[in-house]
Amino acid sequence: MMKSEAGFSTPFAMTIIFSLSLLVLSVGMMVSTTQKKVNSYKNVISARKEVDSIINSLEKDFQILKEAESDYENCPELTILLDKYNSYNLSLEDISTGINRTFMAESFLNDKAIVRYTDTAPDESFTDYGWINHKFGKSAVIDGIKNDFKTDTIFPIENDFPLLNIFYMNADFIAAVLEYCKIPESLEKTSKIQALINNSFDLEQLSRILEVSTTHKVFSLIGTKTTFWKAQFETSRCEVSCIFALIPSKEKAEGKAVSEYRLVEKEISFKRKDL
Amino acid sequence: MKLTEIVVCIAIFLLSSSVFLSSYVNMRKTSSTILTQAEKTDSMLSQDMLIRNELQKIKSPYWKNIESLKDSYEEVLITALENQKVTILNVSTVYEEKHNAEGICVEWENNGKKHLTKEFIKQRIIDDEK
Repeated sequence: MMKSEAGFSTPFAMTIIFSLSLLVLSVGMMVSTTQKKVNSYKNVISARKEVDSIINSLEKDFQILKEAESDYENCPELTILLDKYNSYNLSLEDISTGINRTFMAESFLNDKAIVRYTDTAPDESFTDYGWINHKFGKSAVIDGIKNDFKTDTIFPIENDFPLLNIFYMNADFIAAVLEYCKIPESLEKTSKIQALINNSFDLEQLSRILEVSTTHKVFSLIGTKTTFWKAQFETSRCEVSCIFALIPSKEKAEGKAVSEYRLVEKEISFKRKDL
Repeated sequence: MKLTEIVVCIAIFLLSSSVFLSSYVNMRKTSSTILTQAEKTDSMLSQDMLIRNELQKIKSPYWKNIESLKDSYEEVLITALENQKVTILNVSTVYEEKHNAEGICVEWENNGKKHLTKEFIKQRIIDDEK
């Protein structure tokens, strides 16, 4: 009789404890799943904040290029920048030295020398980035942009800063542009420039090689500065690609001075899918 | 078994049952509140992330006025999110003075509550706009 009484209470208590445990467990699991999701959003937000702060400081440091007379591979200013962000695997690419089909005038795009060059290297000859030089801009596009911004002056989109950086142009491209600008002996002069391309040189030196003054129209196309840089870097959680644009000085003569570098595009992708 | 023993057994059974029942009811109530809140937070955050991802996908060239792209942003967002239980109420442009950044501000509704998602896309190009 004693045995049956002891056996009655134990399964009853066990059932209660078991069902309560199941209930607590299921609620706990659901809450922890939701908490995991919330944590992953927190991670995304903190990863974005980290990337934004790197982009902001990169933009500040980019201003060092304002002082550089010429932008070329291994120039001191670029080296300083790359060294500073070495831990983020920063890479910089000139993306404005090319032909912008949206902005360039038809007379330029249909020129024999230019067509010959674009036909031989269609993949590397075009770009989507760059400013509009008022000597070579497509008037319909300029009017469209003025209309879009509802303003008569669209500085810095339209300016007189040279469009192409000679240090990032290949020999065929240089020859085509010189021929378009009716520079005599374009092939010989291209070879002379190519021989100097690994060292720094300024517009004065270039004008001596080309045997034209620095006010010649070729210097509206060819310069020694890059106007759009693509910077790519990575953090532990993200891969980032951003575009910095050179804003020419509005006041200084001939538009060759740089006012600042400004961020115009950014693209952030997360390495892990769960982020 | 004596009558008093049976009465005590029944009393213990009733007492423990009522304690179990009340704690069960209380726990169900609390857990459902926690779960509802967690689900609401989860759905709000996932929809916010969805909007941010869609905004990232839209290309906004540096030479275009973001103000004139506002309507196309709204159309793209409504189409992309129509099966996602997100109600887009309004799309406007937003400007942040400190970094001279401009972007898109989306007003949307979730579980009867209005939320704002601001995404800064680029820096302002035309100086005269300031």
